[in-house]
Amino acid sequence: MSERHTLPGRGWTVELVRVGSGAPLVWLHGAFGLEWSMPLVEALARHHTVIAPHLPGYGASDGLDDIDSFYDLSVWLDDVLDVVGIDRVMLAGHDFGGAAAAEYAALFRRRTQLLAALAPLGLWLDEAPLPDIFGLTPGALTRVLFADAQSEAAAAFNSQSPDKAERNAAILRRRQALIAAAKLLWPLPDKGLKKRLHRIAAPTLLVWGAQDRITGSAYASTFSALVVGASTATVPAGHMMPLEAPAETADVVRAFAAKASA
Amino acid sequence: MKFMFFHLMPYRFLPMDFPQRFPSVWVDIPGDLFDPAKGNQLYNEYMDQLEHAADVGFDGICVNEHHANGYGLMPSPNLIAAALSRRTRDVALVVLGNSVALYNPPLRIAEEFAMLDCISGGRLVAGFPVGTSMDTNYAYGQVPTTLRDKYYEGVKLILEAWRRNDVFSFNGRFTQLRYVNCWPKPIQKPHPPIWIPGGGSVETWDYCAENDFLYSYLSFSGYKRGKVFLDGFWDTLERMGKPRNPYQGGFVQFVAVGDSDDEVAEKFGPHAEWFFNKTQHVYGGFVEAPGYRTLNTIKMGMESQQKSARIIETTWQEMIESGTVIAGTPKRVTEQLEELARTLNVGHLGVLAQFGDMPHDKAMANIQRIGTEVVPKLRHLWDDTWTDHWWPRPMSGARLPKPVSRGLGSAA
Repeated sequence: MSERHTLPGRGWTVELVRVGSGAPLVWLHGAFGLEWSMPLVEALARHHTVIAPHLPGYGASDGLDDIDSFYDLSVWLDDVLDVVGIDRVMLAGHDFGGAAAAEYAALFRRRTQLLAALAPLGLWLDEAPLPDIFGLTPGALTRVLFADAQSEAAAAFNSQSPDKAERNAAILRRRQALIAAAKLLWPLPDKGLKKRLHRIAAPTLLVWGAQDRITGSAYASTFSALVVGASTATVPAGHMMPLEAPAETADVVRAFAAKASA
Repeated sequence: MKFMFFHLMPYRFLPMDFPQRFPSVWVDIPGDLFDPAKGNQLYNEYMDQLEHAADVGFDGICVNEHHANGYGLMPSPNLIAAALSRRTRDVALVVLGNSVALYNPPLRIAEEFAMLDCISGGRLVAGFPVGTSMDTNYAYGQVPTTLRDKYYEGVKLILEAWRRNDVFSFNGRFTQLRYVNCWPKPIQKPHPPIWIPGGGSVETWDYCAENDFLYSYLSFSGYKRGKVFLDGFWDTLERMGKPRNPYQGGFVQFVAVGDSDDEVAEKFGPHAEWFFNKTQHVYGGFVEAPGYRTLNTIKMGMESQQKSARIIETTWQEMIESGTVIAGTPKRVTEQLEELARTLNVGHLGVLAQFGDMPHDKAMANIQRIGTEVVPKLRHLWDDTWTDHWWPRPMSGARLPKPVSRGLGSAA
């Protein structure tokens, strides 16, 4: 299920998960890493061949030292699509990956066949400041990420193995994820996406969690206003919908993809 | 052995129930807790204390940089150093230091330090800290992942700007300048001594050892816990075949002097307790941004079980036992400081003689007793074997400031 590829020219390694069957769909994970969107990836895999790369700096994917902007990240993704042999891409992403997917769709318009952005970062509204996911203690972070901090999804996100080596590995994985995310999102995630969103030409679905305490309703309405003609769906979840409501989220994405390709 | 009086400049009027009412003394400390009129009082008292230290026998006076911090009122240590340079004559001005990655372009530091060195007649020590995560990442918005690379690049630019007299271009990853031209230049050639205040990271030991910079371990946790970090530095030097010159090391220590243990405890204990209980109250989310330490450093920390030197004790008695505070009669303090110097093998000691909410009179008295009853007894340490290559070399015949004008019509 996990594959490694080498990007020609740079020699960078890309680790990706390929799972399921059907029309290919590329999935870009959120700030905390691919492991926290696997329930959604598996749900999507019932109807799609999901190709989910670890973004640079995550998993075994390297090259982060030379990724200084979302522009660099879009070019990286374009190289990845070449390597996995996808010509026109159905692209979906969550949170950090949602911003990355939107950036790609605004830049590589002809190659983007469809965009699904789930609770995407990338904007900043003074009237609705985003909580600082990099500056919260674990308990406070859980309370903003999840609709219900006592839910199974939240428990899984915070679970600690009794085995010390496994526990340390999980701590390092979390740290590695945030190091990579902070490289592009620090100190605020507004890196100019608002100047580019109007360029998105592919059919676009924006998915928001009904109880999202990070990208709440102000972000939903601003994003919709900037991506003209975008469809919108709401799922019963907080910000971490790939963990909190994987089946419902997969359903809205699949339905949108089916309608767009019909 | 050189002694510096080191001032943090705490805001000593925080409410008594600060830790219960507010999440953090740093980064998001509420602005309305700062009373500018108290600021006027504190800055002037604290500069009086620094000048007093120069008068009573300290070799250097030391200031540092913090941002949005309730126990450090010096976002710009250079302003304080500039004021001190005109009110002192031969004491070293140890600016420990300027957080290089925060200045755009970092050439600004080369210029300001050169100004300070000129004004003071060559008395400047140039400190280049990376800066804490609270200061650099949270208060000043620097990307944690690239902070260290930006810092190293900035130090390189500063040193080159001081060394070279030609106008050159600098094509860095973080700073691009078509014309680099540091005007003025420092008095000390090729540049003032470079001190690197650091925590316990392996990278800093290597950096100091490779470049012949002084390594100063900065923490508030006392010399017993600091030993492992200085040892790491000395071992690094030894591996490179370089001498273990104590003058290449520095350390910082809380010190209090009185006539008896009981008197010292009564006089100074509450202020030390205030410092640790109030001002070390930092919100957990701000302690370390992702990328502030590399994954490798974190991994090594896990493997070696090396605890970051966080203070845990809260009472005076615990602080004395753990070595966090060295306190007692002048004789006893002298013995312990000698033990500290020999244990850590350090030739420069920053003495925190005002701490917490210690009022002005008490601080002045403590500074005076340390300067006159302790420092002279220890100054000879190391001098028979080692030369201090990391101390300022002032020019001869420097122009000195005139006696202070009292201004506004009063007698000078």
